[in-house]
Amino acid sequence: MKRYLLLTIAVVAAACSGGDALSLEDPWARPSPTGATTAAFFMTIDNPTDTDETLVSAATDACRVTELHLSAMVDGVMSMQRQENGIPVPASETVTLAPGGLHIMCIDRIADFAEGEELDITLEFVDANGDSHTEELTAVVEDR
Amino acid sequence: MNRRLRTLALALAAGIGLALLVVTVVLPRFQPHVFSGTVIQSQTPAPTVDLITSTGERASLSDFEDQVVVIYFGYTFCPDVCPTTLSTLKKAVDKLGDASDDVQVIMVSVDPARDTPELLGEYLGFFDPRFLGMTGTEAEVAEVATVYGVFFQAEEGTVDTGYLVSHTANLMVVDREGHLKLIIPPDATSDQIASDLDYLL
Ligand SMILES: [Cu+2]
Repeated sequence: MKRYLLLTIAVVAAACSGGDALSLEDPWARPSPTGATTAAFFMTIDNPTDTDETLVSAATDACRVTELHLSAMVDGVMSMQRQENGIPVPASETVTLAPGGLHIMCIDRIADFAEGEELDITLEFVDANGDSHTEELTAVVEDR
Repeated sequence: MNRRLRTLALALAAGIGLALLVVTVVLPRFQPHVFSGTVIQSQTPAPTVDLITSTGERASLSDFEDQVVVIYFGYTFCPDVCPTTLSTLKKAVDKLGDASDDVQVIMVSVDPARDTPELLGEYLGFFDPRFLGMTGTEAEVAEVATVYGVFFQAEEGTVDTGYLVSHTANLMVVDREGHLKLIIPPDATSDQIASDLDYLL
């Protein structure tokens, strides 16, 4: 009986603290035209925890360098704005990186962004406590 | 009496049937096409575009007489919005089947300093070999953009990106008579674009 009680407490405690980790869903990139030096990665970042997180950088062998960007339409004019303070992923929220919006911009692409290609990326997050951690993921190249 | 009732019932049934036919089949054909973009009622020909094409020669809008021309202002260094729009355009054009022969997609570069005709050709050919790039001097491109109500401006980027170009991302559609007919917003789907182009063909 005592054991069940302890188990129940443990389960409730786990539920209260929310999920235990960020989840990175559906990472992808559009096939990049021949001649193009840039590309963009998209994905959905779900933060089920009760700690705010911020995506601060991304690294990949597929590109010389990456930056976190937002494509934004202002008065009918499309422009890209670098997200210098990273992309916040607040506790219990989901942030989607998608065409025409937030993206990880690939500058000087090295890999061939050809249909079906799989590209590894490492994302660095910093949580509200200032602790940093990385997440590894593989983006698939496909036309959508 | 009985017979009269039956005739009446038959007439009623026929009437309802006819009404249903009109409402479901005939009327929809007379519905005006609903454009996904903004319709321009211009009586004057579309402003000319006279630039160097990605195939290396000089061309102007009048070279595409009798075709529906879709003009997009973009640049090859653009990682997100331009490839997305061009990919959507490719899907839209493919949906037109054989009729797509009467559509010419043109991307005018808003980054003539980096976009050489060769690079434009390579870049656009990736989406569809029929897509044509156009560029010119900074002043020539600016003039074309201005007459189409298109804004573009180089913005300071980082050491890594170099400058980036902010630009109007609409699609300008010139009809077969050479009139600017439609402005399609960048978030239109390939189905919406295909439907608009199909109507203009
Ligand atoms: Cu970007």
